[in-house]
Amino acid sequence: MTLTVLLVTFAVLLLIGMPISFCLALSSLAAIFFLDLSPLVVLQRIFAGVNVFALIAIPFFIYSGEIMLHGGASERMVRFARALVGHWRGGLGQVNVLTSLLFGGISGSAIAGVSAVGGVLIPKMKEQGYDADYAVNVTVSASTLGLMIPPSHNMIIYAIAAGGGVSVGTLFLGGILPGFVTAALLMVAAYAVARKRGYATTAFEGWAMIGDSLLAATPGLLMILIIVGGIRLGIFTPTEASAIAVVYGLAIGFWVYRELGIKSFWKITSNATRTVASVLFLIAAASAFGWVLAVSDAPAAVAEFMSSVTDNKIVALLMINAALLILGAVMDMAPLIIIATPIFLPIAQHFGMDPHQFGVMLIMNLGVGLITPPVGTALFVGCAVGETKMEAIMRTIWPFYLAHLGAILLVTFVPGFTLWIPEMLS
Amino acid sequence: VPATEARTFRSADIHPTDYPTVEAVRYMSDRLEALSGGEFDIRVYYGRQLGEERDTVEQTVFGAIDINRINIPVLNNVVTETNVLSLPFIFRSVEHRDKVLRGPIGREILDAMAPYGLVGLAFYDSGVRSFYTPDTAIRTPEDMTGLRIRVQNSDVAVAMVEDLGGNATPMEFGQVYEALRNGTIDGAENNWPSYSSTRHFEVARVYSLTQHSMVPEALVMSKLTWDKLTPEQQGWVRQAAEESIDEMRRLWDLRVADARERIIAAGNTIVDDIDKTPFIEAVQPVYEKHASDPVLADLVRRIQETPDD
Amino acid sequence: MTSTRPPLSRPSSRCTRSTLPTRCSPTLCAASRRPPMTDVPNDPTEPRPLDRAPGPVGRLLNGAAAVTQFFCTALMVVMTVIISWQIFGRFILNNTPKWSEQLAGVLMVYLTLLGGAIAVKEGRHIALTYFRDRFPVKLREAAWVVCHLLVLGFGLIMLVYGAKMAQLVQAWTIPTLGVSTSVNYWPFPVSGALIVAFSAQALVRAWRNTP
Ligand code: NA
Ligand code: NA
Repeated sequence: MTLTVLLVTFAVLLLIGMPISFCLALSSLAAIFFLDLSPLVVLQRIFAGVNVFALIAIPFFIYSGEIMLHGGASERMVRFARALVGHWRGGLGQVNVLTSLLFGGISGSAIAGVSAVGGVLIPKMKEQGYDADYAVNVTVSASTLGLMIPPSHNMIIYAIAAGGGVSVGTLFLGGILPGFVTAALLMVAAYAVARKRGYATTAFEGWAMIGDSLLAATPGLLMILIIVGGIRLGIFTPTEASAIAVVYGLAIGFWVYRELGIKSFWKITSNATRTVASVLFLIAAASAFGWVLAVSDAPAAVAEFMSSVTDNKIVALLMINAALLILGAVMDMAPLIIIATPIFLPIAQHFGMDPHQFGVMLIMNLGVGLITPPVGTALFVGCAVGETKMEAIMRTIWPFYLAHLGAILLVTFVPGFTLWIPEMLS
Repeated sequence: VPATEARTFRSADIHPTDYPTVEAVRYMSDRLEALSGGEFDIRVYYGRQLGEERDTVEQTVFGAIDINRINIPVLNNVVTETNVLSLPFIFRSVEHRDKVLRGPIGREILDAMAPYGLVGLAFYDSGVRSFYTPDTAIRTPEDMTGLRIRVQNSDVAVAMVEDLGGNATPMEFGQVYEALRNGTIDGAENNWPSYSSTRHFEVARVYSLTQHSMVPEALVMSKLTWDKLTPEQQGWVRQAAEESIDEMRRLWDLRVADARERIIAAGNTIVDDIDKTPFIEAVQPVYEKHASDPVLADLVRRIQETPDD
Repeated sequence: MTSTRPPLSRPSSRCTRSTLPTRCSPTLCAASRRPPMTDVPNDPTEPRPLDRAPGPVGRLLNGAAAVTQFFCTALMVVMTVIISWQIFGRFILNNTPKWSEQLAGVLMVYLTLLGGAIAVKEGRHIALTYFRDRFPVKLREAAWVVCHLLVLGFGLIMLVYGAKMAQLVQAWTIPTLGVSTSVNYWPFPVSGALIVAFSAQALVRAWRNTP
């Protein structure tokens, strides 16, 4: 009954256009009133949901991504990617995917990825005769690579939601291969569409250009090494690594690329806090929602339902994927990680799935949610940057969805994709 | 007071479902159901479902959680009297601790929680804590010089490690395994079962039995819930809680034996030839700093005067 | 090497304007030209300008938002310094600061709640307006008003119960910081008051039919 109050209130509020964080907070409040408890509980959960030291990595990784974006690192990555794959069929589309992959190494936000990569490449693609829908499709679907390639603050949220036994270092390493596999499949999709539409190819710029642009991009690309290596070698914890990323980003922005000044520094910081506050506010509200879900025994109910439907591992895992894709369509990523993890992780573990593998699978599914309406933040930003209608995007994005689904299935059913790199390096 | 209607109490625990404290509260639930003729029972939300301990303490005070199994260090900043239980080497032996906690002093500390919105029901055993490190044996305080030791986020724990010459590093529990493996920290401290269940023994292979702390855990009820019960109903809750203590102890001892066997089988080094005297001398400043309050000093004196048997 | 730099702020969301048309009603039309809080799918990387021609109350609220935003930005810098100091302390001084984690965790709560209030003013909390945009005009207006009233109500709860909570834990202390636990809950009443003010402002504007 409490569960009904919670979910119905949430659905009604969502339907009338209430911001999602307030949908979560207000529906929790309604359920708390129904249970005859004090509203203090909701505030306590909002507080406790963000007063988690490990979560500090989130502001810092968002902040460092913003610094890299405006400090000169991302455009040099575009240049390098262009030299490397610009001459392939669908040239700038391939550049786009590769840049997103590289940008993923300095940022964990798909939205920042769309603005950073799309901001530079979408206008350029349109200028060179690519259709706007193609440019936006490639950009938004590749933007989610940043969720898989470390650093990924969403993986940190998952590690916290999963409780003990999940290592952020292992998750970070586990996301690398799935990120590359997804990128490869997206490149195939970009190639296929480009071939069908007959986009022209451009000339190879030469090895010297590759060398030069790589050299220019190296300081930015080194960040991934510092973060993953630093955590792995025990120089710092994941949280500390995120602060190092900020300091490192500032250092190269000020002294290597020399594109930052005090004024732009303050503006970048201010921008970053706005993103940080809305993300953390959602996490906080989701924590209240999760508390009510737990008290009303929702995880047990879902588990019971699933075991009553099937005891087949393949069917169960496909059902979890489907549920995550549907939930991802209507909700934002961070609160969903907090809410979905305690419900689905035990079921996946029951079927012998490693929690790190599950984490990567979860992130990939919810990443697709970011480019799926009705709540597709990365998609919205991509449409805005590309000045296109969402209907036009939705008509032609399906080859890229297929690429994502293929990668998700590989990660779901082949543990090695996630676990091989961490095991090799341990 | 009008009698509370039949209901299921919500109980919180951070430990997993098969942990002795969780099982003990389920045992308490069975006893309570029997004593109350089916009026009351308890549903345990295990494994942090309702939040971390410092959060569930607040929720218990607000009445959102009825029963809570809490680590004493979490209560230290709420109920002053509980600080004596966290003091290093305050108990000479397990027998001494049991004698104190099941006697009038234990009752006094449980009763001291009432002004803060909590009704102390019972103390549960939480074993004996010792230091573990990747490769340093700790036989004297000098062996700890400069070691980065993870401690619980508690002022007493920090002060103890610092006085022993270590570099106290408060860190969230979930980060400790990686930090030990990576060398971000040089050691941590816990009891046998936790050393085993957290898998810390895989990355910290030397367990030095300093036995510096025997801090128990407390089982409490929300005062808001308590005050809604009739004296008879309160009596049932108390009795069921007290009956669960022995059940908890039985499960706990099994667990300790199990963990010890597992860790020794894993080939870890167990350092047990330790003279505690220099350790006890080194931590005296902790007593001066954290037990100088007359109420606490008096409790310390009476605990020390309590005989072992 | 030259290339086009991505601008600091993005062009506003043309995507929504065209796909989710803003069918204005007479009473809310002016208000929705400055998009009401949930009508824009949010690019959180994009700061929204404060109101251009505010009255005295508007100026006061703009001032409050600007001060709060300045405070949040400063918090971010301070948090960076604290964690960097923690690493420095452990490696160079071999003395890990005991308070750093705890303090950074509390500051993050401040950042979240105060920044969350500003996001109410700037309309940057992510919402799903797909369905509302398809409601008939009257219903759309009603939904918009209900949303703002409920957000205002939640702000009130944060204000009243946040203060109550701070008072309840007044005697407790935060370990390693040695200050009262009520420090944890101070940002609730402050953020609640700001949310009440900002949603009330939006409602009054819609009522008066002014941007
Ligand atoms: Na990333
Ligand atoms: Na979505």
